[in-house]
Amino acid sequence: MPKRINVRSAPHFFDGQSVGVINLEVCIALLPAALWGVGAFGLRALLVLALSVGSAVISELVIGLISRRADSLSDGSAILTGMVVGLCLSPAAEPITPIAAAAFAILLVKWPFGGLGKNWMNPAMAGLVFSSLMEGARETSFILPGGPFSNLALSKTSVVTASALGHQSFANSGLDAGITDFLNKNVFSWVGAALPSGYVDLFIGNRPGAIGAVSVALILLGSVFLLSRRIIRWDLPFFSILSFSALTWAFGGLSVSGDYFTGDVLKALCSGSVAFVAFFVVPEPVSSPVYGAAKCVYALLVGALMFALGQLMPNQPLLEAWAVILANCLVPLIDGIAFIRRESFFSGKVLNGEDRDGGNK
Amino acid sequence: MLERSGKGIYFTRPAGTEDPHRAIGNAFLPSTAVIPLRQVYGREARCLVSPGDLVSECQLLGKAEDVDSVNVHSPIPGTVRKVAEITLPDGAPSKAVFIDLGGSFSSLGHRRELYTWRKLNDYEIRRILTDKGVMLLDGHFVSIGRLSEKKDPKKTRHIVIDCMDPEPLLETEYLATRFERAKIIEAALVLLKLHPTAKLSLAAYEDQRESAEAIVQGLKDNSTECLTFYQELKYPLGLVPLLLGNLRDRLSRRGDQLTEDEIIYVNASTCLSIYDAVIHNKPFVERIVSVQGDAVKAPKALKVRVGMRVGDLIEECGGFKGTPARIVMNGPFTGWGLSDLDSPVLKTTSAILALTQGTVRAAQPRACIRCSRCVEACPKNLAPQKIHELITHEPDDPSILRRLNGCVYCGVCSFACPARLPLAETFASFVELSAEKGRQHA
Repeated sequence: MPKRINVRSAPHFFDGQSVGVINLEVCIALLPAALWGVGAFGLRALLVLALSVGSAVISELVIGLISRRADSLSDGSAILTGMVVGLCLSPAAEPITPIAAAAFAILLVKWPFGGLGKNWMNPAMAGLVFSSLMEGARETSFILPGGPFSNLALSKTSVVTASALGHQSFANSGLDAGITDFLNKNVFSWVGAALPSGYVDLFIGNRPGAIGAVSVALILLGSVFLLSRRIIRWDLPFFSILSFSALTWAFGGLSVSGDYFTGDVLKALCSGSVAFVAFFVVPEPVSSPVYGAAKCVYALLVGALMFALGQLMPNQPLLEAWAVILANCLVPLIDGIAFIRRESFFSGKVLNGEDRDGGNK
Repeated sequence: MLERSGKGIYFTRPAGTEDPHRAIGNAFLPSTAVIPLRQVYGREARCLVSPGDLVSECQLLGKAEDVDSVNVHSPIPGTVRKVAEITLPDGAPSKAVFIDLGGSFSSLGHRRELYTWRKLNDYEIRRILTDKGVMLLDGHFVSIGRLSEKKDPKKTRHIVIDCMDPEPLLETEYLATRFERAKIIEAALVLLKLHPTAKLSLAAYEDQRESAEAIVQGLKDNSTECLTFYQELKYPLGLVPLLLGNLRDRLSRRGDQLTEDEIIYVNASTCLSIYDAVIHNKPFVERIVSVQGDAVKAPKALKVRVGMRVGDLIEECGGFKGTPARIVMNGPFTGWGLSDLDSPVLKTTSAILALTQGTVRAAQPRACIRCSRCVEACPKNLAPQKIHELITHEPDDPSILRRLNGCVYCGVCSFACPARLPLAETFASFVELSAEKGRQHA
């Protein structure tokens, strides 16, 4: 028999979701929140977004040309990184901030070890942390919505700058008062509870904050799309929100009322960028673990870090980004342990004889 | 049509498979037939004809030398034009007999006689099956008549009749089970005669309950008990190693522990060729081939002479619709991509698929993005991502083969991979190359 090397090219068809399609669909899922940010904060927000996306794309193009992999733009990951960077920034950010953050993300986090798939932490989050270190907290202060949407019964009566996690209070809009009133009369009265005013504003995104992270409602909309397309798994967002909420409930009230288990979970989830990070950053595949158990641990860790950092440094911006990159540093360890445990769990099944030579025919 | 889920892919039948008016047609006789002396698996048969010879229909062209080869017969009457080397779909060469159609039909056109096989003893039945070139179409790919040289028939405790199409887009077994129940029943009885100690069971997908129950009833009328095993319509549950694994699990839950050597696995289309050989005394020169895919104008299932060119077969189905990106022999997950339309239909060909780029969606491989879809999809709970990383970066790592242990090369990981990494392909060639290395050292 002639010596032969079996040339197989099977399978002959593939799942529709290639890397490019996944990135494109995540960008689509981000669009509602981005549009809201532009509508709420005006053209200034659009400028920040455009600068960060442009900076990311140009950085990718330049380094792609240098490393002779010019097609790297076609997977859409640079656009996505640029979008995430822009959406996590304050609409009041100086123009240099998005440019520097996105360029740092692409040039120094994504590419040193070979581009997409080889980034050692989440590029967008690392870029954001870099930009926050670069200029300090002063310029990253957040502003109240003042864009086109403010005319739609959303105007606030007073102007107060709020910190990243929304610890300071600000006035509520007319819409908030109306909806809260309606809910309390028609829904919550049935269960004997009442919704305090202000939460509707927080939920729909009529609050100061990062461009894309203010509207929790639209973030949820985008994440429903991603979940239905099976682009993200439910477990990563769920466990990160779970640990953040549990810790907030247990210890978040300490600084306010001095009691345990009095934390305001709803407020904590709807202010800051927790929801955005949980649904759009934590499930990012490259910087998160591969194996099931490690995914849960990682998500729990990010949630816990988001809470802990928020407590330790209440007035620092971009604490969520810090939480993510700190957890990213532990991913190889968590993933390695999970892989070994998984292998020893399944090896019993594989080695018990029946599958020993099942496939090698 | 396909839905990724944990440990596999749910799929639906190709459009038209379940159509109540569906029928299996007859393909035209090819004007030229190419009959490879090696039917992909095993060894070449010894050639008995030379160029210029007149051959009649069903005449023996190649004589099997050992258990790994099968007899091949002429599917059409005519003249041997040449005996030349061709490349089989698996990329390896084989000698093939080229026959130009001519002369008269002696056997297949006539009304078939029925032979009373029940009076034959098992030795005679085995000889008939060997003579007629019947081979197992899945699993072991050996001549059934000589299977006893590999497996002791006295030790066989179970015969599995598989009515499942192993992969999406295939429908041959479904149609065979639906339209040829009587033949399957008869073939099962033949197999039981060869393996008197064996029990019989039938494996089918859940949407085949009606056909499966009819077959079981037919066997009961012949005072034969038959167990049934139903699986959900999910790839790769129908793939032979997984099917047999699941079956043995279920049997052991009933208190019946079986080893691999105690099971004989036969699929529905093999049953049809067993029937033709034993009951009609007809060699294996014809089989059901389904032509499917979105690049085929009129997908059909046809009774096709072995040796017919794939191109002629597609032409008979109306030709191409759109540009085919891939033409595949057998299933889309484990089948062979054909490089030219001159490849002949083999005894092992159950389907020809012509797929457009819209279905294939092949692309240049990119770097792994660690999305873990391969890990979630692997039916054997392996870690394709990790193994691929090891093979590409540390091919000398001794743990690779251990970690690949149990891989059935179903291709689910490659299918799911958004970076289009050739995972299953890399694993298969790695295992093959290390086996090669092992032989060289030994």
